[in-house]
Amino acid sequence: MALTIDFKQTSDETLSMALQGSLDSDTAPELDSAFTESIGPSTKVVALNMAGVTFISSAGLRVIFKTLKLMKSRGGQVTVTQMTKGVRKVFEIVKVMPDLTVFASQAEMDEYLSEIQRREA
Amino acid sequence: MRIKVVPEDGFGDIVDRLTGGLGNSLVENERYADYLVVLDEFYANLKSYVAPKADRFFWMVDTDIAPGEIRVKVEYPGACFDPTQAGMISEQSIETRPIGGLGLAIISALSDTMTYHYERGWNVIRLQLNCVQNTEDKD
Repeated sequence: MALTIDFKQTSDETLSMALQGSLDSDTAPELDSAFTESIGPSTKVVALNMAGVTFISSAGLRVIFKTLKLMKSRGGQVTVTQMTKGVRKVFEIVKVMPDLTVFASQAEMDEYLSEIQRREA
Repeated sequence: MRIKVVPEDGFGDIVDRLTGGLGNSLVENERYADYLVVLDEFYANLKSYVAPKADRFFWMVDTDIAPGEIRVKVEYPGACFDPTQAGMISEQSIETRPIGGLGLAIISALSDTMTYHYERGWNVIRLQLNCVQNTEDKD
């Protein structure tokens, strides 16, 4: 099991990354470290492309929940796109879907992030 | 396919041993992702909460692929603890609810059947993940 984290566009307010592999007990600490290192004091939106995530267990959920709580405390959010069926199922089981901002495609999410960056400028 | 797991094993090592033994019949099964979630929840719970209280702790996991289902049996020695009695997931917003306590509820939700027995000092959990043709009947 392995996790690859690919950093995409970022700005002061937004952090965007694509995840590939599994989010489990072995790999969740890697995502936690990536968030800790990358989320700045002004970050309000963390955007995740989860097209390549094969499965997520509660170890991975805890990291996302922690980040979601942080973003919400700043008036921000965690946005997600391209969840696989299995990942969506787990998110639904833990009843977190209402707390996430879900985009149908990466293009839609990019457009949303660009709009935030335009407002920042 | 039956394997012995010790706390020093990484989750990836366990998956490698199971997939190495069961091959495509497991990896290509439509419930494979759910199976991995269930396996990791047991792994994380046993490693965090049971292993530290025991000397030379180990647990056994059996996986059988049958037509239309994956059958899993997890056995570990120690105090009686019934995971089928896991609590419900909170309906509260993420801002106000605690982060932990999800693992057993996820196992329960993903399993089509789950039973627990305490046999001669061993906790024995059997669960089944049905493939679509069976779960459709259930719905």
